[in-house]
Amino acid sequence: MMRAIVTLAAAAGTSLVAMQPTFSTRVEGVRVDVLVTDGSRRPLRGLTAADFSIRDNGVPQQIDLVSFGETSLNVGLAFDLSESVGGARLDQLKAASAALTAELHPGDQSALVTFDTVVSLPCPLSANRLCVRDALDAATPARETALVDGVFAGMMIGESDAGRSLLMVFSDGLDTASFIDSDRVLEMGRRSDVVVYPITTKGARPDFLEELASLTGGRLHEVEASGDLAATFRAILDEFRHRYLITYAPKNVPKDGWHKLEVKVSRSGARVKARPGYQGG
Amino acid sequence: MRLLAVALAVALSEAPSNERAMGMLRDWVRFVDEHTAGETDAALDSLTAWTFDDLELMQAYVEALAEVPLNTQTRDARRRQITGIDLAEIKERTKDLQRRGDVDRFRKRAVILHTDAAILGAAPVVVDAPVPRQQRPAWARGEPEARVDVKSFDGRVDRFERANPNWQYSMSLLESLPAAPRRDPFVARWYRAVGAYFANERSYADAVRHFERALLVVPDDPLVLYGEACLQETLGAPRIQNYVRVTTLPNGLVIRDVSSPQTHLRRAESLLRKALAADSHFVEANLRLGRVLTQLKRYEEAFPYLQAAIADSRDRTVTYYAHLFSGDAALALGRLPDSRLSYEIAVALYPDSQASRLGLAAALRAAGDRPAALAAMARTLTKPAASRDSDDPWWDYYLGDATNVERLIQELWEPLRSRKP
Repeated sequence: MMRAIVTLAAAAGTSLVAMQPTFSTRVEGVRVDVLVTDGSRRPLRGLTAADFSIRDNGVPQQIDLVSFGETSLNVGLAFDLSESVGGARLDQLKAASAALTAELHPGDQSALVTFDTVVSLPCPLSANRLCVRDALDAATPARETALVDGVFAGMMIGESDAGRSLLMVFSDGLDTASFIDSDRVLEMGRRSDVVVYPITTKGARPDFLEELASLTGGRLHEVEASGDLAATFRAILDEFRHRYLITYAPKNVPKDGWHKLEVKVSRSGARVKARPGYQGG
Repeated sequence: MRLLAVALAVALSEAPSNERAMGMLRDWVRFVDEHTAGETDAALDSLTAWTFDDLELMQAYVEALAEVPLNTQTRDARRRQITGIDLAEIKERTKDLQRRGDVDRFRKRAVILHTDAAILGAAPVVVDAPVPRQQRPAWARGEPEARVDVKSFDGRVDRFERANPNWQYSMSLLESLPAAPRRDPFVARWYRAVGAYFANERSYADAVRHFERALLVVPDDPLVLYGEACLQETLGAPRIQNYVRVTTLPNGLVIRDVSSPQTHLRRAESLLRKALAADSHFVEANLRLGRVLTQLKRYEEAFPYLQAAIADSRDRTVTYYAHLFSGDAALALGRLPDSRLSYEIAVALYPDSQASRLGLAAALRAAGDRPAALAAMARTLTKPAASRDSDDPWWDYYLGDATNVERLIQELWEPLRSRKP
């Protein structure tokens, strides 16, 4: 399910802090992260609740709240530090991470999960901007790639705190070592409000990451081996920051099962990207 | 027809002896006699000084001497290249071996000599990426093609190596051992041990050919069936499938022997069922059949095999795997308390294991308990990565039978260390 807002209607528009919703509790509110762009793929600003319409399993819903750029961000980074990410690629990753953390606002938090065969959490979610830099400076790429395990851990860390959650996954290869089945993580994606933006190098485009990005409303980016990773990281953060957060309390739909979502914007030429649905129950 | 046959016979008997090959064959007999199984000695060094081309030239001579059956066209064609004069001398040498009274022991020691040459001998022969026949100049298209294997790490092509012909020698020489009234048990022991060696080396190209031959020679041996099942399971696993899917080799080359995951997993299933038909208490076969069925998304079917493995296992790692896979199957079916319990037992068996803790976190999270899920992962995720290499048996699961490789190879060497029985 989406992050269930158990008591939060009261906190609307301020913060979504201190929610510890569970799957077993009833879904009382649903949040949908929506990217709206114009024909040139630039974010459309200034939209209000009146500009949006949303259908949950085909049933029109009353939108309670639309927020834009008001909620702090949890930026999770899940980085592949396997053997193949050595040398220049690691240097690019360090530079890109530094560029990204420099763009974070006060109140935003970041976390770093690294994975080779082993998955590690060198930086839990916090406002500490130096942790990611220090962890990457100390990193020695080795072993194989537990991509699915790493993404699973990244999603767990990202969704477990307050604010809007972005998970940026960088990998230059494909899974060679995970235990967790990719289907379980995709299922988790259906029930989570973490938006996943994978960044892969050309040629390594795992179906799993593509599907996860699509399920969570994110977008997969492919970069050239010598491409400007920092620019890609900044662009993703900028895009995520300029998304709208729609909140509604589902009505006239059964709470269990898969809920297909259709989000529309009443502006001509507007393009909408949001998760295709969520798992209730 | 008659005239042609006569002419051919004359031509053969008049063909000159290949003195170099015959000299090498005499040396080879000496190497077999002098080599101590499992040791890098002078005999082994002398053999490994032969180039791969030398070995390929000599294979027909060695096969003739050991009386390897001419049951393949390739072998038959090779044998035809030996002149009549040389064949006559080889027959005399074979009779000498028979007079010694230890011809089968000699053949086994020859198998071990070539096995040791492959395992302990010279460094592999690294080559350029081969050019497919159709892309070669016309004059080069008829040249024989040596098999070339691609070596990779972490999903990346590392280098190309020429396949080691010593393995072909060993497999051919095994066929010279008596097959009736029953196959010499050394044959099955060799196939199991070397299969485990290939698994340990992750040398899947060799392993595929190895088990193809094994199924012809020892089709009912449960341990050999199990070894091939492990190989098929690995070929169907994401680690191999992902690599093959995105790897582009130079010169338009393609990776052979890897089919769809379902194809490999179904082959593994069939092999494991045969192994279990021969030995229903084969714990590892029950475990792997359970795992293969979960990979085929036949979760309900998997449980009895995993339960059987748990009931019969006396090995902590096997028990760990069985609980790990039961946890995954239960999670897939939405049986969250069962999944949680299985993962908790796996965690208790290997408290620092990543797979069990991530699995437990997934079960807890699916049940709605995020704080507990995070706590379950915390212990392993916050431990320094450098100290975690041996924390989780899962990381060795796809090595299959390789965990036994040292013992199996020692058991192969031990009875053949000396020339005398």
